[in-house]
Amino acid sequence: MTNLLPHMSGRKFAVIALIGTAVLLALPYFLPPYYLGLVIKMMIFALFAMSLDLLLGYTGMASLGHAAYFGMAAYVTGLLALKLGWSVWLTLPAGILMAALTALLLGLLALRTRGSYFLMITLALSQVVWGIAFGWRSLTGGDDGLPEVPRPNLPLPWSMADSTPFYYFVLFFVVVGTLLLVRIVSSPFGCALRGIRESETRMLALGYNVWRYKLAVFVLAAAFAGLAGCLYVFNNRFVSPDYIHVARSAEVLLMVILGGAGTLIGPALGAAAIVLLENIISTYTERWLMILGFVYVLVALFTPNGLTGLIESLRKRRSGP
Amino acid sequence: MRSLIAVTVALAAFGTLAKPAFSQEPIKIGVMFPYTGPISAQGRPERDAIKQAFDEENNTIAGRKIELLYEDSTGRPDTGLTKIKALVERDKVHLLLSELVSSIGAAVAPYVNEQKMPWISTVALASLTRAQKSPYIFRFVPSSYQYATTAAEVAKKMGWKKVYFIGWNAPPSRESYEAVKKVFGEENVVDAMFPNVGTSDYAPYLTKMDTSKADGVFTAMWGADAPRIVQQYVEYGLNKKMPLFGIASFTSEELLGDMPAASVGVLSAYTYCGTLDTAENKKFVEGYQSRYKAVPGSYQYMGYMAAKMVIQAIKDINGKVEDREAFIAALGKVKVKGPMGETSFDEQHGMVADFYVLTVEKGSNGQLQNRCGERIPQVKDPYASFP
Amino acid sequence: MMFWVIQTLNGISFGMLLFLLASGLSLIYGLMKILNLTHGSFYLLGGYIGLAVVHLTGSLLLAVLVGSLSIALLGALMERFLLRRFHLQELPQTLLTFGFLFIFSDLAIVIWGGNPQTMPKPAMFSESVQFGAFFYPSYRLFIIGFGFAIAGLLWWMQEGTRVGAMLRAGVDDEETARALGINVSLLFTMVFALGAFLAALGGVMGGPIMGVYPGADFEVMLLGFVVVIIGGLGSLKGALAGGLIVGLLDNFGKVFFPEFALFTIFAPMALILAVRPAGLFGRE
Repeated sequence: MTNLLPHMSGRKFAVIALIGTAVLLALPYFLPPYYLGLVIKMMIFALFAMSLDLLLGYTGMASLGHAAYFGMAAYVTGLLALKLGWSVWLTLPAGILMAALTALLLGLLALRTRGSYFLMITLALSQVVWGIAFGWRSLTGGDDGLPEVPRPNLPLPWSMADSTPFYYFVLFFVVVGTLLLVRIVSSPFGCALRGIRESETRMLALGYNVWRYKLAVFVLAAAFAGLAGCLYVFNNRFVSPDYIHVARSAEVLLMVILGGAGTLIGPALGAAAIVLLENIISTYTERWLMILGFVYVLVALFTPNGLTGLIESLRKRRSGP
Repeated sequence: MRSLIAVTVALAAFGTLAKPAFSQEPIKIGVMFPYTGPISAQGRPERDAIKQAFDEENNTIAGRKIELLYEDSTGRPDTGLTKIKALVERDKVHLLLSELVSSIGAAVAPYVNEQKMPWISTVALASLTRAQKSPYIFRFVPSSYQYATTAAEVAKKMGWKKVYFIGWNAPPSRESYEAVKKVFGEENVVDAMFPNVGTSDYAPYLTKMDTSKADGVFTAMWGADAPRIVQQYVEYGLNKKMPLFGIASFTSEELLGDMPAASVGVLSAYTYCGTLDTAENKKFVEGYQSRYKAVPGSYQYMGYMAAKMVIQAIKDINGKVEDREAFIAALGKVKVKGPMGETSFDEQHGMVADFYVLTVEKGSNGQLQNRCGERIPQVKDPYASFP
Repeated sequence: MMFWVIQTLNGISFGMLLFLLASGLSLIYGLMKILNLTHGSFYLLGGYIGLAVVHLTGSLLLAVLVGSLSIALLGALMERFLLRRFHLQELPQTLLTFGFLFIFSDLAIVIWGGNPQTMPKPAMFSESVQFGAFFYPSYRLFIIGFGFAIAGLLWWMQEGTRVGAMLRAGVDDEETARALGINVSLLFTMVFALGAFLAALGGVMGGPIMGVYPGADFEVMLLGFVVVIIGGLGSLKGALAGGLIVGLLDNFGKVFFPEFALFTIFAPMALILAVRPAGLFGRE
């Protein structure tokens, strides 16, 4: 479990995880609906950011097109729920599956490159997906997107249209997603990924089929991004091409780096911070985009290892050399 | 939590009962537009014009203070929805006077309807008064079918028989094409082209047009693409052979300053004409200019007049906006004589207003302006033709 | 026949603007491996500054010079004081350049407002040329000639001058270039400035055709990427070929498959990626 935060014992982690879960479970009892809505958004983006971290932090592959999978799943889920009225137990897996399949296809093209070239290819390919969502009006509604997607209808006494039950619905999937991610990064597969991050050539020499590992993790990361996208479409009850835009891919990259790539908790915190910033700062200033721009620049300049890295280095300084 | 809400609601209800005539609590109005990003050029001026309208009432209506709460939709639908929720759930606004971006409009409409929150929108989305129709949603801007049908009828009256159509591959332009087809007949549309929003170069489409085959070209695109297509239209000398008819606010006053000089002669038909000589228009234009040092265009007009409609409705119910049903009933019946004549809402809550035939001309100061031609009185959304 | 001539010229003139944009992107990547997401902003700011100069002095020549040189300076400063620190670290570079994309686009709105603006054409190219029934805007013909002239100039610089030799050495093997006593640090700044210069030049020259408006930064940046992916990063030849290919594909795509306008660019891009990941003229 050392992967969630570096230098943390299993017991300490268990305590923190327990407290965190308890707080999240209790939130609806003291947060008004609007703020609960913000927390839902934070949790969804936390999952989205953690999925990118699987690529970026654990395998060393920086993608600038991760929103393509988020958006692809959102469209598939939204369309199936809206036009065919499928239940959530079908639309959710269908969305995730479609995200994974898209990643498989685009990954075959993108994975032949690396570094900044990989960044550019993933950006360009995500733009193709955006172009389809934008251009295929009869199916996707074009620029206006698909409104009126219904919330899931579960055989439970509570309606998902209310914010509290829906909060628990999202919390359930985010927790399951996180546990799976923790499981993946601490498995032998996760170790291999870290090995690839450190040195591809060494992994090749050790007999690993590096390319196959990279494709596998690319598809896996897309599947988790897809889960986040499905939850987001249920939350907003609409989907539009904006879900896939490059700006969103860049935003989730920022969340990961702001929080600290290579830990799962870091990107989750980064996501929460950015969602909060966007919703609070833009209320008070018309210069929100400039401020966001400076956030990007400052993160690049001063917190290359993210918030978690900052905390680590502060702790090290305090405890002496 | 739920019991807490119940208590609050009960207290609020008690509060309104306790103070019978009008409570001194301010009326809170949520004003959300895109204030950042590329579309802020329309969002900020529209908000300014809304402010102007309330300023003219000294921000007090029926004895109650008016409090405008601003939120920035940033032009993104998901952010817009979150911000609308902030206004409704956190700030407890009494009504919304918000938005112009159609994707945001489509995204927030179901929420607003569920919350039973009166929303006066300036989103030119036909569906707001059709598929997404709600007793709580009012659309104070012509719909795509409304402005395109008017434009096509004006051109037909001018003697056009065969036409080209070029518009964005986006709902308002597609719907505009439906209207043009209906008025002219499909066989009289020589070709219809639907480029993407933000196409850098329209030359491939324009040079496909054969000037001997048609009497004119309809174009349905706005924002930065409007001056660009005019520029490229003029570049290929097409304006000398076929007139260009812009659908909706194609030559809006705030764009004219930066339109190429050769756009003189471009036609359109819309609910706002900057040079119209009425006392109300003079008050609006001069008031806006003295406050914000700029010429107001159609976006500002929509914001200003939408606010005027709200103001009149609040006066009609003597300031009791807490009674939402009374407020929307009043708003549905409001008639206001504004800069362009009388405006009201139809039975499905779409805008009813006078249209004018506009032609771009060079003003006495050398600047481009719209010449106001024929007035088409009280144009209503054609629900019968386009259900 | 006429139809084909006119549509081909349209495609080539648009392709030339794309070449101006992509050549800078490609040069910068070739030498420094920086994915410059601010490149579209250079284009947009160049256009805005050029426009301001036109409004102030009425001179288009001055607009071209001031617009592109001031952006070259801006590029030099960005490289010298910020990007330099993150040599070969693609993540901070991406964040930095994406951050500046937001900052510059908002700055442009603060300074110039958000309304689209139109750059006037030089008087001598304001009309169309006519040969019999053939009728074509002369400014677009001028853009084609200008683009080829710039391509020739860059080619000569790369192949025929000392700086070009240094540049080629730097692209091939940075370490060896350093060992040979080439001032790689200065070279980096110069190339980044040159790239910014070319983008801004595209912004000013493209102004009379496409206008200057918020959001153009994003749109042209994406087109620039497609051009370099097709042509191959780090190759001048590739930028020229890519620009022309994308310009023509875009043009004939719009003419014959108007519903799939964007697709006629993206589909060939995906195809080239599948067959030649490094692009047509890029090195594997």
